[in-house]
Amino acid sequence: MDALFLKIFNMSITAGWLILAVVALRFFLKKAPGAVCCALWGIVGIRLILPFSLKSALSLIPTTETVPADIGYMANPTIHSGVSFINSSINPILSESLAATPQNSINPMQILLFFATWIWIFGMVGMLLYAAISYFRLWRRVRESIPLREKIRLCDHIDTPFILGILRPRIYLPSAMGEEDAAYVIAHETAHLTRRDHLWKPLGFLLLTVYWFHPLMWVAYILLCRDIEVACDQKVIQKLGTDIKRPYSETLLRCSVSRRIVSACPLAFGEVSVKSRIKGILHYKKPAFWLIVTAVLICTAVAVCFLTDPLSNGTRVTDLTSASGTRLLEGEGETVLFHRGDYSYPIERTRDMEKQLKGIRVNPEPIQTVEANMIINPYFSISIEGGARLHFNREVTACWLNGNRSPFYIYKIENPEYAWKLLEGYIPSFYFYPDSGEPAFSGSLTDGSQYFFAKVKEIHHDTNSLTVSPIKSGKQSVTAESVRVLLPRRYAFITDFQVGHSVCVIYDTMAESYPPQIFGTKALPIVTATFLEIPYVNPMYDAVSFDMDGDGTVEICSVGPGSMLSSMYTFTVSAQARGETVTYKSIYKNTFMSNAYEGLEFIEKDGQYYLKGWFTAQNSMETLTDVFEISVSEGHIVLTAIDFSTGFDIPSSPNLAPGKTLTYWGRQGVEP
Amino acid sequence: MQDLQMGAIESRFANIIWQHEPLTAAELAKYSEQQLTWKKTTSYTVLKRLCDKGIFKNENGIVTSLISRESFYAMRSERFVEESFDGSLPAFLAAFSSRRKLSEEDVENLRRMIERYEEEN
Repeated sequence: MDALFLKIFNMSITAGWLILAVVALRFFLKKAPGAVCCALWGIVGIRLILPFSLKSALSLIPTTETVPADIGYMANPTIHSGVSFINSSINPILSESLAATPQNSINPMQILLFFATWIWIFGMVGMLLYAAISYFRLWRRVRESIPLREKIRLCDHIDTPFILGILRPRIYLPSAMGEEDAAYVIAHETAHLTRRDHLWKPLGFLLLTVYWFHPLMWVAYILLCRDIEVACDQKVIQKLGTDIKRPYSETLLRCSVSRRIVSACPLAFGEVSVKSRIKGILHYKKPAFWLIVTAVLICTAVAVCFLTDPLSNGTRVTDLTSASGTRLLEGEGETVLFHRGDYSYPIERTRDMEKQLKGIRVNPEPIQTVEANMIINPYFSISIEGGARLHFNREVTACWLNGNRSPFYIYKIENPEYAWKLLEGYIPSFYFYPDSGEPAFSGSLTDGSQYFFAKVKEIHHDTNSLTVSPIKSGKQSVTAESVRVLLPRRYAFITDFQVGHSVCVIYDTMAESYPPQIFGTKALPIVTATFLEIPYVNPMYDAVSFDMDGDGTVEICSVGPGSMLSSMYTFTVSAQARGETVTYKSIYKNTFMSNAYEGLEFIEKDGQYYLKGWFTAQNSMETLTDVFEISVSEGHIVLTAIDFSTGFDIPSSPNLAPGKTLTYWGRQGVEP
Repeated sequence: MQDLQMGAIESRFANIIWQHEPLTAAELAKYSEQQLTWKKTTSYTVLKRLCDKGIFKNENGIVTSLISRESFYAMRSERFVEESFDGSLPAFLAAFSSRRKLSEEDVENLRRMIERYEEEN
């Protein structure tokens, strides 16, 4: 119910802009046919009825969602009206009085919304009751009427002629009315019937019932009633000739009744703004053709500018300013760096790319303010040397600039599909050397490794590997049809892959030190190249090469998921020794029982490798981390939690106490 | 003083009663429907109002008049002259004839009326 009210509220504000425009235009359209003004009100009506509209670049509406639908849940409720003056006047008041306090489970904004919704409903019911009662009272009175002609009846107890009825409208005349007056009145009321005003006015009142809370709506309704009468007056003069102007005005004067200015029904003859109507009648001249044409053009322009919704709400992501005052594109670097985790890869900076980046739009009012020193891990980021760094979440629905030190704001991306497509599109080209069959890469990463992009052809769950087909680039010939890649890095989980998705394969030329790593873009999986023909049989989150057991040779150690069958959370650490050939053999494998770590990876300090795992605590939303010392004892890997407060750059709270070793779970050791 | 006001439409309804009295309320409703397109409830409502004014009465479903049509209009004109011309008939006639010329027939009728009145007194 609250959501409905919010939608109606936003629609009323959108229509409010249109009403302002129409009110302004009416000044200039005084000489135009009255029907033109009625058409403009028709456009207002359409705006109020349709919950959405076509988008166009010509729209003059600042925004269609002034009050965000989730304002009840925002920590700092803000509105974005599209007009900064309005925003800056209202938002401070909102955040002062309606900011959420962490102790309470309901935001003050939600309470306000609740009451506002019910007040709105009561208002609607009140208006409907008023309309129903006035209709009923009139209906009772005119039951004692007799027919005069088709659709016209005479009645004793009425003092002004009017039309009553929506489906079967009838004109009611006071029985004491003179013949000459009656003739003009009938002409006027018949004009109403021809124009179907007996439908438009109640419809207008119905809209007023729904939007009663908006003051401009009342203005619109009152002006609509006036314009309807003026249009009918003009129609009568057109039909009967300009000679009748004077006697018609006299009739109008005789029949004028001052009543309440807002009535749902009926369409009365002498009720609405008689003085100005008489003036208009006496000065009426048939409008010139060019005037009519101009008026029609104005109507069309109003329809286009105000019936359509703006293309995209919000500011460009390139206009966002970080806490230090810089923006994304302000950097002078010649490359745009795409970062994912610890990896960054550069793409040449072009004007087209800048233009495309500018197309990503965000809601200018932030959805969240993050305190200094809170870490939010982005899924990936974009930066240009010297400028601000822009971070994105995994779904590309939110972004933020630079973080870590000062408070920063998280913004909602208004066009996530566009952002998605765009970032996926930054795929550098690659090619294979025709003779050697080795891929020749068009790009190098900052750490010296090289990459190419490929499409997933097949997923092999048993070996946790993928078959990919390299993407051709331009005229270069490709000799390798497909490459078999494995999965070593914590960023990738086999379930992330889908056939047809692109992957970025990073091939590390320095394979002696550690296995090739693969890096992904967007939701792309991370795989390793198989150029070393490594038949890794253990699925893994991360892998590094170091001497785990102290025997002088380097092993390739990996950490991966534990038992698939168990309901306990487990993970496996294993090590493979490199053989004389490129084949590896497993030497250690242990499964540990632990917390459900969100991430597990190896970290290095002073030449030693440790295993780090982290997760977010349920109740406090804090990130908790454990760092384990890795050692081998009696053929099994032992993980011991250590105190990482010094020497490790990990600003997180520990979970386990130092010295605690993880227990094993299930079968241990390598199968012979 | 009785309320002798009656709108043009009420008058048509009253004429039905004067024309067909005594008649049952049901018959009256039928005539009203034929001539005025009124529903039964409407007839009854207006009938009640006219009865309250003391012009008609509705006893056991039979409708009769308390004041005849001639008396009613006579009383109405009497009150009109009373209110507008201070009861002076000559003043009324003077005002009436100032805008409309009296026809020969009118004059003849008036003269005969005056003669008859003089004879009776």
